[in-house]
Amino acid sequence: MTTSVETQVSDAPANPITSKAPNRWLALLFRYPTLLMLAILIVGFSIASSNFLTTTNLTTLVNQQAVVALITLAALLPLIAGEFDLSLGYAAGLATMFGAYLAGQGWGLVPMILAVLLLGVFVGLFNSLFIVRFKINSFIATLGVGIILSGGTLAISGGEVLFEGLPQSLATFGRDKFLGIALPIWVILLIAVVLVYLLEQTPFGRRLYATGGSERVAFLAGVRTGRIKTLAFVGAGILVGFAGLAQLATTTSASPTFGPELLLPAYAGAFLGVVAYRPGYFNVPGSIIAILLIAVGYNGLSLVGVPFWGQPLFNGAVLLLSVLGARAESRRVRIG
Amino acid sequence: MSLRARNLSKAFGDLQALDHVSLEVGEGELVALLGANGSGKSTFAKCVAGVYQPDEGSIELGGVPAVRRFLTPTDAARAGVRVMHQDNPLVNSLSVKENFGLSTGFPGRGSAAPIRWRKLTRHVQQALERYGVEVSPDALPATLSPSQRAMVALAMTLADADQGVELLILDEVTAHIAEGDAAEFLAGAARLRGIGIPILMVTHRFKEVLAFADRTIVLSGGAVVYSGPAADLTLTEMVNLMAAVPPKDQAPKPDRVRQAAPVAELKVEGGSGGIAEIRGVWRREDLGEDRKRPALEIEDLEGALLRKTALKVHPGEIVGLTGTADSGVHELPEILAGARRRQGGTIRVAGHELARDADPVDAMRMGIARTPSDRHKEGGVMSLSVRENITLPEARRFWGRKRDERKVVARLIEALNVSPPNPDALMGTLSGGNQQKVVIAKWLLTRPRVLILDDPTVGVDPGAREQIFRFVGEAAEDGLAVVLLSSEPEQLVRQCTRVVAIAGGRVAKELNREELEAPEALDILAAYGG
Ligand SMILES: Nc1ncnc2c1ncn2[C@@H]1O[C@H](COP(=O)(O)OP(=O)(O)OP(=O)(O)O)[C@@H](O)[C@H]1O
Ligand SMILES: [Mg+2]
Repeated sequence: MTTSVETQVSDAPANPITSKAPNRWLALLFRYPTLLMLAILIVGFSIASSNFLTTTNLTTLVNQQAVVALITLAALLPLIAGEFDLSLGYAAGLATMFGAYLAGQGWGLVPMILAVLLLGVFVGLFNSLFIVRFKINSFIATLGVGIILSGGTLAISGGEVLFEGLPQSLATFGRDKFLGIALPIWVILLIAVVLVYLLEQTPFGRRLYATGGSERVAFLAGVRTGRIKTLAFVGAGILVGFAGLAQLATTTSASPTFGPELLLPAYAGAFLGVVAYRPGYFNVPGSIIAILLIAVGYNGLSLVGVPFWGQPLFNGAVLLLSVLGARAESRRVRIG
Repeated sequence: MSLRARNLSKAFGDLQALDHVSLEVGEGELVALLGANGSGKSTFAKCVAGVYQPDEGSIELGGVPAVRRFLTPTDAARAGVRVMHQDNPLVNSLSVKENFGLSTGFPGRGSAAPIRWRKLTRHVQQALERYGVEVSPDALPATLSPSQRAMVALAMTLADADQGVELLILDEVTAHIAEGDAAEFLAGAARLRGIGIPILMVTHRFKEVLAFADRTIVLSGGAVVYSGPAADLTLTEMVNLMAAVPPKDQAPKPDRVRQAAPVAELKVEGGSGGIAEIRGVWRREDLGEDRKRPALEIEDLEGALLRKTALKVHPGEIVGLTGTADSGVHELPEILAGARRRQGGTIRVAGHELARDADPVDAMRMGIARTPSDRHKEGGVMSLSVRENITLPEARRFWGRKRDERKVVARLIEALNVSPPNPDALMGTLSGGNQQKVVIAKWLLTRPRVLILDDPTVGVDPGAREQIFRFVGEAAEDGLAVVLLSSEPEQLVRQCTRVVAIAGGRVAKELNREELEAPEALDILAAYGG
């Protein structure tokens, strides 16, 4: 399943940075349209509300993005391989609940963390069993798996919010800050750096992008595409495990309804990420900028006093406009 | 009915793909549009067809006043432009008549009303008959020969010819078709001149130009460098004209339309001195150590069509293979590359056996490389750069060695004269012939023992063909074993040390070098080929 962003090729030279000097800054701006929008929003909100540009507000804003950022990164891996993972939201719910459940059973911090990450690995393997082995469309397979997982969440929670027995150290970790930024955010930045390295510098990254670009060509060129896809789903599962842990650390409880509502924001972030950093490709830095853009919009709009229903309007509009803008800018044309 | 294009220009970023191109195709005239890979032929066709919008110029069709541009392919179609692109547009899982319905509309009272199948069948039958296509409307495209498929596509393209077709563009439609079939197809298409339809034909096959074109127009670097009667130009002159303004240099001024200058002998562009200096890039150390031992041994091979096929190729040999579509010859490259299972038999590479359930990784490890004939589906990842495509099979070799990677890729690009010579260009933006060169570079880089070229010059211009075969020839001298499949018998005669013809799944004939020199060789090969 290749998305339209990938099957299009830009009219402009592949790397605008190498083009002629006078256009260089313009080209750089075009490469980061979301960053430009972010800057405009920050300036705009600072003028409109005196509460916006305060350290407290900005750090709170960033600190709230931990879970959605992790799920966005999780969504990226299958997307790059040309597949969808719709189980991410449900899986994040299950991971959170599973962690809380184990804590309630008296598990220590480290075994609990390892168990949650292992759960993520299993979810990824379970997804790829259907997609790689039985060749079921990933859209359908991961939807089915997701629904099963939500059953699991209900079963182990009994429909209740779990909060007992969570290790104190986890809550402290969620609360503590370094340079005003919560520790989970630092962990995410570390994960992002590792992912950028994996995707851009290693054979794995090459093969992942090639598989997403054309599975047949990649297979014939000696890429074990089944294995690559399995790795992508397992990677997504592990990142979802981290998302569950981040949720536990920041809220110190697990709600049986948590999870599914994160799927759409995560995908919005991943798709919006395509317009920046490495235009035309799903990528990590672009997605992180996109998450910040949406978060700043959310935060600023509520400070300015836009009613609650203005938020989704804003988020949807940003996604559509940026992707449209990116198309117009490079006058993308279909191959062939 | 005629086409007059005036001063069409189109740039992609810094690249001037078309530079003030003016050309005319008169009523009932067949014009061959020639030019090196990347010279702008397809871009011109796409500008006229409304796929791209030219930056400048005007297009005049029939007696209608000139327009600046067509905004969409539908606009161009409404004005009477019909284009056949190189990729076969038939949907394999639908019958011929359903394919027609998709492209020309299903007869009925509306989208939600039941399709009137009888009427559709009648329409389709009429359209097929009009172009002399002997194919049942219920046939599945997969069961047709390549030329039948092309003819069906043509009939589909022109299904409404009575409703004002003003221009037919054929963009390398015969490239994938064996020569005999191609001639048959073009003869069918050329008959349309009789009803006054102007035809613009893009091709790299000189023979087709001589046989069917009234006039030749040569593009180079996006500009017209020659226009004159088709018969006035020899192959040598043509090749030299194509290279007249190397695509790398700046495009010529608008008014610099030259007539064919007297030219000396065939001069091949690009590649400073062939592969000597990049040998280390692709050559494995043990290549051709023991020339007595076959590099490739096939015994009793059974496939879907192949029956007890046997073949031996020694290091340094270039063995040609030919056969019709139903001879099974086309299974061989796929089986060898691990892309298709065999039913039986043994395959050995330098004495080591290739497992029966081998996948492409196993085949590559044994030293087999195959360039596929279907460039679009199997050749390159269109959304990745040229560099990423070339080093895809060898990603591990260049892990953490980006500078080496760039150097190697730059050398291959230079040696094969890929245009534009930019390793970061997206594969999908390259012209067809240049994509093919990238695919060949990719497989050379895997350091093969056995190189299988499955119709390697599809869509490649004459100059670059020489280049590719010089490359392959030198590699063979170093001890590479080469298997060549080609839709052009002449190519087999010119390039091969011997040629094996497959018929009914078995080796039916073998011609050695001496027999290939004989004048009847071409006819023999044409009889076995399709
Ligand atoms: N969408 C695009 N984006 C960027 N460059 C493009 C695009 N389409 C074509 N080009 C460039 O324009 C030039 C002309 O391409 P075109 O496809 O017209 O060549 P061609 O004459 O048809 O070659 P061939 O014989 O190989 O088919 C090439 O250098 C190609 O790389
Ligand atoms: Mg072309």
